[in-house]
Amino acid sequence: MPADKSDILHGTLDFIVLKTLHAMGPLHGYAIARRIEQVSADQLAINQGTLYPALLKLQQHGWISTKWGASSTGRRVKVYSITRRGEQQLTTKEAEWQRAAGIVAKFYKLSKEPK
Amino acid sequence: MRPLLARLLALFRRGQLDDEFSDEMSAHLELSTADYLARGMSLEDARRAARLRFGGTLQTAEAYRDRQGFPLLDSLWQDLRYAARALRKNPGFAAVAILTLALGVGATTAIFTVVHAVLLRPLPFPEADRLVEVRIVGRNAAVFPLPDTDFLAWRSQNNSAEAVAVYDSSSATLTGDGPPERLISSAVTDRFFDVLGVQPLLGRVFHEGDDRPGAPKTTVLSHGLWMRRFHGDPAIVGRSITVSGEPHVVIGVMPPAFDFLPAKKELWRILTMNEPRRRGPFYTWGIARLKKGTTLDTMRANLDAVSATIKRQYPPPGAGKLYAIPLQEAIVGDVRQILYVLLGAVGFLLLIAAANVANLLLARAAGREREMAVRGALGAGRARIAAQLLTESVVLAVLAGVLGLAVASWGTRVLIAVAPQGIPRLNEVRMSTPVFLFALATASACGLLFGLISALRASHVPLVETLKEGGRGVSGGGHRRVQRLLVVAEIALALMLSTGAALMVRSFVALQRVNPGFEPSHLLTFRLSLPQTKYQNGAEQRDFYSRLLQRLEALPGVRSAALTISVPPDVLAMTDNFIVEGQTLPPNQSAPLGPLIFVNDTYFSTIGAPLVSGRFFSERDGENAPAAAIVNETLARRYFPSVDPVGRRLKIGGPERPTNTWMRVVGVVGDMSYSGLDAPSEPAVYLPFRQATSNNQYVLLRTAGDPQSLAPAVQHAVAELDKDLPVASLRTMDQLMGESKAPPRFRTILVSLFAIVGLTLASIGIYGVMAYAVAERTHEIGVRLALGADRADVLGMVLGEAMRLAAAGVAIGLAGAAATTQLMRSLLFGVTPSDVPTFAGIAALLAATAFVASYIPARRATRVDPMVALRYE
Repeated sequence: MPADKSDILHGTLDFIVLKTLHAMGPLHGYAIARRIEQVSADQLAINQGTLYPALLKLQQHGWISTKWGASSTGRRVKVYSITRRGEQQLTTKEAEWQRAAGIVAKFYKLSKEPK
Repeated sequence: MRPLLARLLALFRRGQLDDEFSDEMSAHLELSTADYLARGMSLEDARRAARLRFGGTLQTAEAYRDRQGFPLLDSLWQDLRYAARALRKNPGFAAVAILTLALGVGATTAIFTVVHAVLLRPLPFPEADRLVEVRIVGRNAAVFPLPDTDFLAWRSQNNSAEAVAVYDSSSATLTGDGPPERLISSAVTDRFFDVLGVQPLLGRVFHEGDDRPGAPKTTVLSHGLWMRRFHGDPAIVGRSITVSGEPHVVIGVMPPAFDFLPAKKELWRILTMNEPRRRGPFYTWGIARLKKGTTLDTMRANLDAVSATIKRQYPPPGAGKLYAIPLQEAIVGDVRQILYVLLGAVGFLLLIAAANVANLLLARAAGREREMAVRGALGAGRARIAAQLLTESVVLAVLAGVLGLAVASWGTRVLIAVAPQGIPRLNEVRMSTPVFLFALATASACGLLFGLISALRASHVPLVETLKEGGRGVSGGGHRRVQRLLVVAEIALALMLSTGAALMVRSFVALQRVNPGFEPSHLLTFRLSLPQTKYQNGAEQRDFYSRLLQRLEALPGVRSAALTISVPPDVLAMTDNFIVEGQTLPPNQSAPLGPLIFVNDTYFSTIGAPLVSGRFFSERDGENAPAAAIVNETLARRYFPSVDPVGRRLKIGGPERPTNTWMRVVGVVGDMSYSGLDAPSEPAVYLPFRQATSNNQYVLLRTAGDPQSLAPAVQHAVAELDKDLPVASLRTMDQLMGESKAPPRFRTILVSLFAIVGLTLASIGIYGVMAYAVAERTHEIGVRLALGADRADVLGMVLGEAMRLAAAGVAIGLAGAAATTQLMRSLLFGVTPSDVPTFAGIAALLAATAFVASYIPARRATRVDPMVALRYE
């Protein structure tokens, strides 16, 4: 169900965006959207527009910064890049994520074991 | 923290950020479109695909904006801008509503400013709530000053106060160091300043024991006197100055802010008491500072015990017992009631103004029902619509509040400028934080109230019906009922306010008609106080005054000159008991009391008082002649019923003074009031100047022309006889009469003004509601007319409805007025609080006002053209 997809995205979009910028370097909004779609193999079929409020939030936290630049076609675009604070946040989040994923995985195993 | 800061900063570059975002969105769409084009789509398909992929741009922009700023603040800002636009679009409505409310808020705030400064703010002394005044309360709650006996007994038996003191209000003459000057001063006992808890600016205040007999005479100066007379010389402390002919050592100077009410004092002298021989004279007022944690009741019990010992020492009939009240209450006195009546009156005005504005808003809300329905249909929630209406009325109220503060600031200044003498603490009146808060709270309360009324109304608008109706609002009974209720309330309030005002006007007219008992025009009065050090006995004083009268009578323009110790209508120097020969007092009842006035032979002829029987005083009533007295008509009527008092005898003082001599009544004169024109007439005894002399005298001159023009000549004549003698209280009788009537005039004008404004507002309210009702019913009236209704029927129908509202309002108002006017009983003169003609007259006035105000809309209703009204459908 599409609703499930966006639900997953809701809690993790911040993380995904930061990780993308960390891996790819500075990108403009459309490129970020495309990149996320590609990585998730088009499984996250949500509206690209929802990306922008998330970008704004990251910016307000000071995790990413913006400046005006040009796209490959020469169009004036806003380019996002991850900041040092963003890198720190990413590390923290990554650790949290690993831990949470580990716990969930353990529970998953538990439920499979016969009584 | 960081996001909040970022959002706050974003508030200031809203427009730029919005532009940037829309640019970013179009870049995104362009890039996306280009991708789809590259995949071989047609331009049109590529664009559609890009849009689909992006999702709703509007929603995204909205979400982005919400994230960027503060959504609640945003909609508030939107509402504010919308409200401002709505008000601007309808400037007439906005102006009328804001002005009406500003008038109400401003007038109320102005009166509140005075009430706050005079009644509510604590006195400017440390821990002022512990300060009390001690006075003597006699029969019928009559209040007297203290005699020395009572103070000394109180001081020795005090166990409830930290410090006690008494003060008098004698004036003093300052001589030496420049021209003689008469000062408002006070003689006080040693702990006076300790009671108030104040420190001097220079030197010291009186110490305990400074007032024992034989101690050196000392004095403390006010800052004003020190600066004016001694040029702020700090070396004044320790110097000796001549006060009322006696040397006094200056021991201190008070700070500029120190003032002890009611009159601004310039100098304080130490009051020395010798062992009193009798209980009298009564001349000082007590003040005390309660011990910490002691209540007023404890002190009253203490005072009762003191009074009991005095009663044993000076058996009855003695006048009254000691009683304590809070000092603030004592200082404010009668002014309290006047101010509360004014505050009440202006409160009525505010309510009428508020009802009017509420009516305006309701009428406007009804006209906007369609707008609200459209908004509702477009998805605005009820809460959102209510919030918007609330914002509109709060904006209105805040604007009115700000304007009201301006009105209040101006009004307060006018109030102070025109206020009569004798309102204490008026110099402390200023716009302060509580006043600002009061104005703001009043205005906001009105705004919230209006907003709630219209918001509640709007949230009940049935969407579909309203939209279906086409332009015409369906406005059911709801707002009409509220509007009608408001009109009834306005009429009732206006009636109560006008009744109060009418009673005050009638009192004032009655006061104007009071016959003072003498001829007030062409009279000049002034006061002299001969220092007893220089004029040591009665003979010397009489000699001075005889020479002065001779000189004054020789002045061109002076018809006659006279002496008295009391001057009508307000100056009463002395009151005492008297006994008529042959009269027996019931046990435990003191002798009757009345003004005791020393006058010279020419007093009655100069002032123009009529002789009823017998004769005036003359040379026959000399120092060694038999004691003579003249009584007024009230005394004659009350104590010599059915006999001519001339030739009979009376004496001053009750049975406790058996040695007083009997005096023969030689004449009866007409009544004159010495305690105010509105005071009931009292039995007065006049004694001849030669047999009863006072060093303090008022001089009265009957002049041929303008009495004021004689002032310089009078000053000159006095200075020729004694250059150290100041002329005080130089006034024409017309001025004295005017000053006497000033307080009632002031409050009458003020309340009348409120009533007139209230009445005008109420009639505008009635007119508005009826005009609106007629406009709303144009169609219905058209149908009636088309169906053959008489135009007179239509007129009757509209007028009848208005008069039903008026009748309800008048009935409620009459009941309310009957209750509220009782509260102003003591301010009335010559009319009772439930005066039937006044009530009937005002009820008729209100009914007539309602009739006139609704007649114009009713006439308009009869001119409805049935064709036009029907075609409208």
